[in-house]
Amino acid sequence: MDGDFLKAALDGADQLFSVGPMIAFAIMIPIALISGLMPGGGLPFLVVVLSFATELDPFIAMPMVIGYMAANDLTEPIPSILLGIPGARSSQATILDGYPLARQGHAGRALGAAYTSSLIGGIVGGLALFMVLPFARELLKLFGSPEFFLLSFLGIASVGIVSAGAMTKGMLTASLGLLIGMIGFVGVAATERATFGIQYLYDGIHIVPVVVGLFAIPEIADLIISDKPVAKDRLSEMLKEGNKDVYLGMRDALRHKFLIARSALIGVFIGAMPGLGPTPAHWIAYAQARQTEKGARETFGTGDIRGVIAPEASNNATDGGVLMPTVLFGIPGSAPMAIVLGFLILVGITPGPNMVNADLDLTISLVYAIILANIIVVPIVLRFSALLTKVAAVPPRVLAPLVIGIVTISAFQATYSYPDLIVVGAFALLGMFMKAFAWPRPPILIAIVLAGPLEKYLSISIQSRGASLLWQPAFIGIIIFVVIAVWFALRVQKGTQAYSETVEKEGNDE
Amino acid sequence: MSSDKDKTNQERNISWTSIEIIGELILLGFMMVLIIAYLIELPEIKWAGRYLPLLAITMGLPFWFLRVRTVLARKSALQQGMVMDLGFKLGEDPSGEKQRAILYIGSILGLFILVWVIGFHIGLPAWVVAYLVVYAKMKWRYALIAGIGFEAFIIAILDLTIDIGWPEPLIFKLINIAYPFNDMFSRAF
Repeated sequence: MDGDFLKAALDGADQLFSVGPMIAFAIMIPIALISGLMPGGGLPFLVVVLSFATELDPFIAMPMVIGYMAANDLTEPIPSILLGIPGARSSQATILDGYPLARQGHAGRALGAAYTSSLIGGIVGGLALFMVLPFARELLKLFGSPEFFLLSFLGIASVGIVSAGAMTKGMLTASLGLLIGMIGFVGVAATERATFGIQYLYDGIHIVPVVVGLFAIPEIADLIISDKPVAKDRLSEMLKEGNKDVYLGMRDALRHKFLIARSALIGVFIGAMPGLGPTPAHWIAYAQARQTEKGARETFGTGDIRGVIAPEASNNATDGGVLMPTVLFGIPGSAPMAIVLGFLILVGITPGPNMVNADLDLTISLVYAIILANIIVVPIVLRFSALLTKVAAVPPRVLAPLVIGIVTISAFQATYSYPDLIVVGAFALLGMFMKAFAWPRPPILIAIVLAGPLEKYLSISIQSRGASLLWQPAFIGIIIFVVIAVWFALRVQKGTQAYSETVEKEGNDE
Repeated sequence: MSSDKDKTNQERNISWTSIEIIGELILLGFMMVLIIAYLIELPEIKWAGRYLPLLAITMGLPFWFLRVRTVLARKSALQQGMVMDLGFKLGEDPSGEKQRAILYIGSILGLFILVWVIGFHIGLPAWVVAYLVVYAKMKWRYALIAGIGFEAFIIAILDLTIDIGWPEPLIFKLINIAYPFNDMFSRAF
């Protein structure tokens, strides 16, 4: 570790542990906890947080956003364990053993184990990102515009290939995202493109209304349309159980430290793969625990505490993993990361070499933010989990207008003009259609976010190297790496899908 | 074997008038409009501005044709799994779900129109109160508190903190009066 790195590590700590970021953390954590517990609330509120964060200093805004995401993830075990409802897809495996434990009267123990393993997983994820940074500094020295162009382009393509389970639709949405992302004034050619004479489109399509339309409104629609209130009798029963034997669960988790370590490393590794994220990671962690732990094949699914520990450790560790390709190479592996990347670009921070050189202190402050969010939030959720469960039980029809109102205000902040609402409406229709008919939404968002940087890298590459860029060693190396990564991701995706379906079917049969 | 055959039949039985087919045709049509718009404009743009559109079109066009073929065969997309995304959790009460979907889309459209006509300060809190009273069957006192909360949020964040310049709502334009909330508050922080 060189002197620059140490200095940046100290500067990052100094910047984060100052008044501004701490106030932002204090405001953000209750929002993250409440929104994380609202079914489908995490992503809509991330947009809200980001839209307001653009007004702040990056040293306040970025740790706040990353801390929000980490705190948000920590709420997932509450509905999964206490109510048997997945807060998000990355806590489905937790239900398999967490909910039976809760029904047997061990809800507090399950929550204690889930949060202790989440805390350790989150810290492992943060530290993994920290440890990768010195290597990334060296690696990124080999990269210029052609390599970044290729990484971004193949990043879009690989997310398109992997994310849908149907390559055609994934690649189509990725291409559509690029076509939409290129609308407006193009700096490299000093002209406008595909604006159809509409003045609003001259500055391009702003990311916030796109995200609100594509993700937030369809998620709220899911709540409203399915309209499934939580059974009150089950809720009151679980509220009594939620705080019992928490320490027993914490002890359980600490007894299985190797299981936590293995699961956390799976989370980091899978999280770093473009297009995968926490969902496959937590299933793989669950599967490896079932395969490797003594007697697990017989007891998993019936209320085995190890079936809670493994997915939760992996789930939280992905936070560090998914940040690696996003901040270091500008390739977001998931929809929330695409939103974060869009935000970075919006506030003038360029992902890539800058993040390990000029902005290294900012990158390291993100590591601290992940760890700090885990350390602050875990005791809060352990103490108030039963109370927080009430948020998950608020009827969707009461929650919906509040969430819609807030996201509408966020969307309007893009340009403070009414056409922002037209963009929201158009993308909301698109998003609801895509959600209803199994079209993947992340590739379109990732492509919109990356279109600008991609064009810049491509133009510089062609001007500086011409056709010779095609046989640069780093260029060829990236192609080989991405092909292997996509092959691996497809295998993981296929395996995860088959495994989760089998396990869920077994659970239903029983 | 027979179940495979049934599944294939099911996949092929989607009606031309189904939302899935119409939606896909609109989506593919929109994409083609964009492609054509780029192709028409490209000859007039400097080379530096042509590379990426050409690359995106080259990447997307083969998949566009593949998808058109699938749509024309009227195969359902619902059988395909997704890892990064989730579909709607539907199926228990189709008629209720349809009714709620229409109501939801209509209410959002109503919100946008209301905001455009009378502005955020009045339109948004009024919509929240109306939604909570009419649809969520909340007592009007509580709904009013939520509405006041929104008003306070708009004023505290957008007026007193960011101090945005509000666009003129339609009704104020028509009666030729300046939007009063633009002058009422200024940045306090």
